[in-house]
This record gives sequence, C-alpha cells and structure tokens, in this order.
Amino acid sequence: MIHFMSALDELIGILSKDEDFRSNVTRWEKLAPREGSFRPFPQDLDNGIADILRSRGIGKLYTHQEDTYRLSREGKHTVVVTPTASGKTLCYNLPVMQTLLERPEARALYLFPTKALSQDQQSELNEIVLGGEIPVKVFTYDGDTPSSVRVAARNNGRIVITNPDMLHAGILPNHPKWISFLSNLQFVVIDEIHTYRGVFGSHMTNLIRRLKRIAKFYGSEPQFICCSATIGNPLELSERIIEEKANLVDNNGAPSGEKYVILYNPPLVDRVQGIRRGVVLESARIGTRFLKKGIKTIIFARSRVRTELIAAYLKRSLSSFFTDNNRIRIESYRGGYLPNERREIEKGLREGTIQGVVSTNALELGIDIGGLDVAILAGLPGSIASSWQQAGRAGRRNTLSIAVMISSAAPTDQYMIRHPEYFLGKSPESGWVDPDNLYILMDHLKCAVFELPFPDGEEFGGPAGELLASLEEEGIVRYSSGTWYWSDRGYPAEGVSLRSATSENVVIVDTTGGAYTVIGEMDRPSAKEMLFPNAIYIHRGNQYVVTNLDLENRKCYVETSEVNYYTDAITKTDIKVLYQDDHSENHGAELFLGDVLVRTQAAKFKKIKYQTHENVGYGDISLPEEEMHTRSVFIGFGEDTPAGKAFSKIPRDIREEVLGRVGTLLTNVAPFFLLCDRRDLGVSERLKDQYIEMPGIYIYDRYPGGTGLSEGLLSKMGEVLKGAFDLVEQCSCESGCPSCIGPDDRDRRTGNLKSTVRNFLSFWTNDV
Amino acid sequence: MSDRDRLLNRLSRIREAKSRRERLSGEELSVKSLPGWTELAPRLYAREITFPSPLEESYNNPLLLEDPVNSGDLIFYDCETTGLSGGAGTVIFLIGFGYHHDGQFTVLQYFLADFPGEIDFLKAVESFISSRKIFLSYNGRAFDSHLLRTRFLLKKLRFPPFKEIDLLYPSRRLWKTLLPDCSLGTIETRVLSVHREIDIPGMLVPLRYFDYLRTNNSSLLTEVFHHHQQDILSLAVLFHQIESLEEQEQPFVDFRGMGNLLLSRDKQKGAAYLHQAAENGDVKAAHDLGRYLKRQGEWDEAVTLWETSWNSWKDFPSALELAKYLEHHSRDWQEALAITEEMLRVLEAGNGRTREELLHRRERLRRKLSINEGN
Repeated sequence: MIHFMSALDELIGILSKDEDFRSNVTRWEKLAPREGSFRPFPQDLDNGIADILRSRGIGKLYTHQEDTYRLSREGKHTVVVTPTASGKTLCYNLPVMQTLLERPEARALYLFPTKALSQDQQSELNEIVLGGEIPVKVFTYDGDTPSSVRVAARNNGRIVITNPDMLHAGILPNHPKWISFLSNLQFVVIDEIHTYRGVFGSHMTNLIRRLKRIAKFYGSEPQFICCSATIGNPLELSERIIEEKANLVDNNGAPSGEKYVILYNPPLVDRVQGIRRGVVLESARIGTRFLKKGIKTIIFARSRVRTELIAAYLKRSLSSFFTDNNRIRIESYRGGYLPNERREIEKGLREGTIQGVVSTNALELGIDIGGLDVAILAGLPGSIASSWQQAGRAGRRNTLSIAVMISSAAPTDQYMIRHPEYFLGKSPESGWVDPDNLYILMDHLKCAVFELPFPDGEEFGGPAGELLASLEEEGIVRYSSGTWYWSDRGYPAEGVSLRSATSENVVIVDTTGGAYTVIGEMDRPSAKEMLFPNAIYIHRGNQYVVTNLDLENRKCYVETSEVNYYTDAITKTDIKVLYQDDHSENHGAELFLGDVLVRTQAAKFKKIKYQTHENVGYGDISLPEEEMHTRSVFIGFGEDTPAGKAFSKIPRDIREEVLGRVGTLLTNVAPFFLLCDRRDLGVSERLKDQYIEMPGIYIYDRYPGGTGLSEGLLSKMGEVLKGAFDLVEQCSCESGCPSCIGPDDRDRRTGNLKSTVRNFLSFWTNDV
Repeated sequence: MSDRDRLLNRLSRIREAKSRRERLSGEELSVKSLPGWTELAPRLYAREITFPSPLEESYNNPLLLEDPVNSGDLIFYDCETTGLSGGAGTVIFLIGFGYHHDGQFTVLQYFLADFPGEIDFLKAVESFISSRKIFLSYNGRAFDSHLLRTRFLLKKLRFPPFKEIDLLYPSRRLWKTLLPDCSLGTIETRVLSVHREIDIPGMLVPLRYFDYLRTNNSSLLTEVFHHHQQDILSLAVLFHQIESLEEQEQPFVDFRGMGNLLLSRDKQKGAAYLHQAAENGDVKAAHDLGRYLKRQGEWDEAVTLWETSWNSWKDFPSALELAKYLEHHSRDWQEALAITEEMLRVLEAGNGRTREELLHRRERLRRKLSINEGN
C-alpha cells in the first residue's frame, strides 16, 4: 500500500510539472480529504449482527448509515444518497436484518437493475448471514435460477433478490405462488434508483404500483428503502417511483482520501480543421504512464470496440516495457462476456492479480472490484452522475486517488471540458419519469388487471375507470357487476419489455482450427453493426474476423485474425411515413403526427488502420436493414407558415446546415419538457421530405412502438420552441457550442450559424 | 395501426363504452336456452348427463391404485379455462366430475356464466370435492388442480384435501414409444378407439368463451360443453383400458413401461414383461430389470441377466454392473479384472470418460489382487 501511495504521489508531482501534459488540462482540482463522521451502533441492534460487523472491522456506523437505520426502523420510507464507497449496502442490510430477526415471518424484496448486481449482493449478504449463523435465508430469483431452487426461494426466502424484469414477468403474474412471501412483505429495497429514468423509470413506477396493489391484497404494506447515486433530485425521483412521501438521508459520513480531478482535453493536431488527438490513443497513453508504475488503474471507455482497442494498445505498450516481466496484467470487461469470465476478472481486481482493467459502463454500478488508485474516463459518459460514479471507482477508503476525465471530440464532451464549473459545481442533472405515459400505463394496467380484477373506483396511479373502458373496447377486459376482469387468453406481461424491445441475442462462435467455442453474445441490432461478414471483432484483446453471420439461427462464426486494421460500419437512416393521424397548423408550423418506419442499414464499412487511424479501404455489407416501427412528429416548414417564411429567408446553400443545427437544438431541449433521456429521441432533418412535401424535421421516439413521447412533444411544442429560442439566445458562446446548436465548425461558407439559427427561430416564433 | 387508432380516439370511444356498459348492465347473461342446465346461483349453472358406464363395479387388484377400489369412489374430473399459460388471470369457467353408480356413468358439469359468479362456482366445487375420495385427471397435477388451488386462494377459500391420480404419467409409460404424442386426443383414437363426431380443438375453447361473453350467445358453447363432457368420459374409458390390459392377450403397450408399472403390484408379472422387452432387444428394459433384481437381492437372476446382455449385445452398463458385483459382492477380483479388461478391448477409441473410469477400475483391481498375493 505504502509503495503504491508513494508511487502515486510521485507521479502526481511529475504530471503537475509536465508542461506537455498541463497544457491540455482545463481544470486541475484537488479535493481535500474528508474525515469520516461516525455514530455508535444503535442500541437496539442485535448482538449477533454487531459481532459480525466487529469481526469485519466495523466498530461504528457512518452518520448516513445510522440515520437510514433509524428512519427505516421508525417505519418511514427512506431515500439515501450514497456516493461510491460509502458503505451503501449496510444502509439497508442493517434495518432489514434487524427487523427480520425480530419478526420471524417478515420478508424483504431487493431490486437491482441488473443480474450481475444481484449476484454481487447475494455474496455480500451471505457473508453477513453465514458468517454469524444468522437464521435469515437469502435467495437470488432471476432467469438463471434453476426451477428446483425457485420453490425454495418462494417458500423459504426471507430476502429475495431479483430485478424489475423478473418481478414484472415472473413474480407478479404468478403472485398466488408467492402468497407466504407477499403476505409478509415488510421491506422493498430499490438500489441504484437513479438508473430508473425515462422509459425504464416510467415502467418502474408502474411496476411498483402493481407490486403495492398485490401486497395490499395479501394484507401487507411494504416500506421502501431506496439508494441513489448523487443526482440533482434523488428524493423527487424516488418519490415519483414509489409514489410515497419519503425521507432523504444525504449526510454522507464516509471518509474519503485526497483526490485529484483532472479534466483533460487532448491537444489539437490540426488547428485548421480543429482535429484533436483521439481519445482512444490518448487515454491508452496516459493509462500506460500509471500502469508502468504499478498503479492500479481502471479505464472507462464509451463503447465495446473502444474497450478492446484501448486494452490492446495498453498490452502492446506494456509488453515492450516488461518483456521479461509479466507481472502487469490488463483485462478488458464489457457486456458480451460470459458470466464466469466476468466473475474471474472481478475477482482478479479484488485480489490484486489484475492491475489494469478497461471497461464499458458495465463496471460503473456497484459491483465490488475493491479499491483502485486511478480512474481514467476515455470520453465522458452520458451524464454527470455517471462521470462521478466512474471517477469514484478510484480511491476507496483513505488513500490518495486520481480521476482523469478525458474528453472525446463529441460536442457535449467538448462543451463540458471547457465548462468545468458544470462538472465540479453542485446539482448535476436530474432524473425524470413519466409514469402516466399512456402507452406504458396501459401496458401495466393490462398486467395489473390480469393479476387481480379491478372493482369500480379502484385507482391505478390515478382514476383507472376510463382506461379500463378503453381496454374493454379492445376486447381484453370485461366489465361485469361493477368489476373489471381480464378477459383474454394471453399473458400480458410477456408482451411488455421494460427495456429495449430486442431480446434475441446472437451467439459468437470461434471456429478457428475446426474448434467450436462460444466466446460471447451480442444483441441483434448491434450484431448487424459489429459482426457483419469480414468485420474485425475484438474480444478480450484477441482479434477475430467474422466468417459468417447467420441471423436466422442467431449465430456468428469467427476465426482468429491478424490484420493491422479494425472495421467500422457506416449506417444510414431512412424514415417512411406509414400512417398520418394528426395534422395541424400550430406554433407557426405544420405539425404532423403519425406512425413511421425507421430503417437503419449498415451498407458499407471502413477499414481503419491501428495507431494512425487512417482509412485503408472500404467493404460492402449485405445484411437486411434493421426496422423499427415507432411514432414521430414532423415539424413541417410549410410555405405559408411563419416557420416556412423564416426558412425561406435563409440563403439556399446553407439551409441544410441550419436545419441540422435546429434539429440538434430541439432534441437538446425537448428532453427537459418530455421528462425523458436525450437518447430516447431520434432526429432526422429533411430539406424536402418525400412524403410530406416540404422542408422540416422528424423527431421520433426511439422506443419501438412509441412511448407517447411524440404525442408529448406535440402538446409541449410551444414550450419546446420557446426553450430552444431561450437556449440559443442565452447561451454564452459566440458562434455555437454543444450546449445549444452544436459546436462552431469554423466554416467560412456558413458564417455564424448560431446567429442564423437564432434569427430563424425569432422570425418563426415571434410571428406566432 | 388499429390499436393505435383506438388509443388515440380513446375519449370518444370511452363515451361509447360507457353507454354500452349501461346498456349491458340490465341484461343478465344466461344459458337457460340450453337444454339440461339448471341455475344454482346467479351466473352459476349445472347439468348432469348419464351414460352407460365404461367401468366395472370394482377393481380388486388395480394397477393404478394401492388398494382394491369400488368404482363409486372414483371421480374423473377436468377443467376448461380462459387461458393455457396459467398465472393469476387464468380463470376456470367449466369443471366436470364423472362418477359411476348402478352401472351408469354420470357427468356433472358446473358452468361459470360470468366472472362475478366465481365465488359461488368455487363453493359448489368445494362441496362436491369434500364429499368424495379419489380424483383422476389427465395432466391435472401440473395444470387443473394447480389452477383450482390458485382460484380458491384468490377468493380466500379453503381448498379441501384432494387425492389425485394423474393418468398422464402411466399413459406416457405405456404408449410414449408407440405414439407420436401422448395427448388425450391421440390416446382416444389410437388406443381407446373413441371417435368424436362433434368436436372443437382445445386451443379454441377460451376464444369461444370470450365470444360468448361478448355476445351473450350461449349456443357458441354447445361444442365446448360437449367436448368437455367427452373428455371426462374418455378418462373413465382410459382408466378401464389400463386396468384391463393384463387380461388382454396381446395388449398394445410398451412392454418395458408395462413391466415397470406392474412391478409394484405384481413382481413376477412385472419382471416377466421386462424380460420380454429385454428379449425383444430393449436394453433399457434389461437395465430396469437388473436394477430391480439387484434391489430385491436376487443376485443369481441378476447375474444371469447381465451376462446375457453383455454376451449377446455387448451392453456396457450390464458389464459394469457385473464387474461391480464381482468386485464388491462376490469378491472375485480375478474375474472382475477379466471382464474389465474385456470391456477395455471392446471399447471403441474416443470414448474418453468411460475409458478413464475403466482404467481406474482396472488399476484398483490390480492393486487389490497384488496386495492379496502379498499376503
């Protein structure tokens, strides 16, 4: 330990004096260490539990742990904000264990967003339970649970750990099997509650409505304990999900070591075109500096491909340094690895046999990988909360740690890296859900009426009668003698996915030398973009070439390969209007609403040379396109509308540019009003649309089938347009930046696009 | 698209729905127009139909039960449901009980004419079940009785004690190898020679019920009622068929299945069937018989069987049993080694795991022999 600390101290000293390095740093922030603030064990805490804690070196609690314990024991719904490494699990495990010991029939349900986290939690709990022979049975109940264990989990599980998908499709529709569990359900723990935002969060609220409804039927009224990462509105988000008044605990008492946060913008390599050194190479270069000193480092990359690329670069640069000394081990970690491969890497990190890991956000959430010294963010993740969670992977306990956040060329990255106050100030972005989104609500109402009939007057997040009447019209619900009954032979939960619509995975098979080894899997839309024939596929640092992609049988065959390039698919998007069900002239434009078919196709791929990243060739991809049927709004600039008139004032040769910027601006603004994630919206601009014959912008729902975002957009159009104008008007930049219309790309031809966009919006909206 | 339209024009149609609801609320759904049905409570109907009984008065040494039984104590039952996938939203709308009395076979059916009548429906079922002893079904253990318990639980009613014999399991033993599948329909045509004139595929049953609920046209259910009654009658025919297999000269059955089924009732007959199957070349039957003889301690017969199996068709599991017997029971290590080596010679290359095990066994036997010689 001492050795690492001094190595890190030494390196910080070197870096701070390294002019080449410092010149790219936009912020060098030293966060002072924090003393822990503690409280003694609560007086009512069981001696057995206290003994186990002491045997694990815990003699007192952090203030936030004790607060959560007290509030939960008083029967209050509690939301605790827990930064990384602040002893989160004890916040809920202590009050739950204590109550379960006092009341031998009481049960608790733990919900984690992923299966991996459930498994991690199970082993954590086993330590407490088995360590002191505490008679509380803990079961994980998910898709991997063998049917023989399922019965035991239902009947004997005092704590059942599961995920929302399993609760939705496995547990609630079969609630009579869970009678003894649900009748005594005392606690529901929702961990990582900040992940339930947007569509997923809206589903979650409805799922909790269903859970509470069934619990009530069996005579129980569970109490909630929610844990959130540091976001702007943890209490508000939690209260919207559990739909109960809750108490917030945010007095983090965990100590933290001294931490350097370094914001790093890779240097310009071409000042004229504004091209910067790539984030992949730059993060590998910086990572190597730490790893060579034996400092434990995690690098977060934003995609699976980048994860593999960075790991490969690191291995190469280290092998030349330690040719005869192999003690530095680097692994990559991402979705698509088999579960046992993942467990092995997690163990290696905890035990110190692996010094460096390159990961996607798969390691961002609370999987226990022990303490690391340095976290490098190779590109900023989508949100500030994620950035902090990733940065928090370095520096558990009292040690010095460093987080280096390296921006990519992406517009939002460039904006953030130049505005560190957004980063280091308080209140990052907030999570929102829209549980009363008609489509999501209706889907869950179907599930709920399947689970139990609705008597007149029973609510489901609000009055349900009208909604049930429309289900009756669909012919799947029957009204009789004052009660609504499920009246269809289907099993509604089967048709409702809480996440993306695709669950069909392609299995990747290595056939090198006649072998047949399954090395991983990937969802179908991604497979079309990454596993096309002749694609170079990198898995755990090994390079493969795809020999055949058999989509029908969901198999992809690969062989090892040693070419000096990687491949990148070029995808294009086409939108076809299938059905137009609303058309109005409003807010100064022609607004259309309808069903569309969004088709994305990877038709070509680039071969890109390692290191230099030069393009060394193209290839064709002949795969069927990926189709998504969804809902879209088309904002049409009809000739006689204010928008159309404003648009005609724009010089013809820069209209396409301007249109693109307006599209970016609208999709940057809309999420605030639609309570959704930026990624939930797709945008496609048209100089002249072939279906609706005018210029305009499609904004579509990226959730297959639509989730009501398009209808929402239509009803909020006035606010969205006003917000867009305000944003561009009030933005402090001169000629465009990622926070408004996208960055200024210094093209003389287009002039100052920002003022053009501003004027366009002004003409358009002032006329309304 | 039409789903979407429906939702988008929700408000207008909600109004329609309301008016329709008012219209319907005055009307009572009814099956009075169907002959033979009696209203027991609002939305609960029952009927009884009597057939000549396919059963004998009693079965003195039954294959499917432990003790002699009077046919009057047997209840054949079946349910029709609103869905086939189970779960809390699947409702039983038709249940029937078939029973023997005075040479007659009566099928009593209870019909749930609409969901609100379910509690009366279940109470009627409860009172019938409580007074009876043995229930026979086809796939009832996995589906029907399971669903019944769920419905009772949801209505907070106590489910009475229920002794069930599921004819699916013995049927699988007897006919799985001889039929494409073991659905009741296939058994009817291929084994029982029952041919239905009017029928409806089971899959369509829920749809018919929903159509009836929507239209209040109970004649839509005529075929469903008939189908259900026929199912119950077939259960009784099937029971009798299984119980009388032994009396037939050349029964249409899988001999191994028959033998295994018989073992617990009549050891000699069971063993005879297994013998017959083994002689016909059914290796698994030979294994079953060997295991049975071993458990009974009838070593001489077992050894003869294993030797025959090994000598006539080089059956490895039998040879392995023989080797085990020689090593651990008669402690004839020399002979055990000999057969192990013979197996190794016969074993084709590539069967890695078996070879490993055999080598291991050979090693152990050699060691035992050498220690013995040392003494």
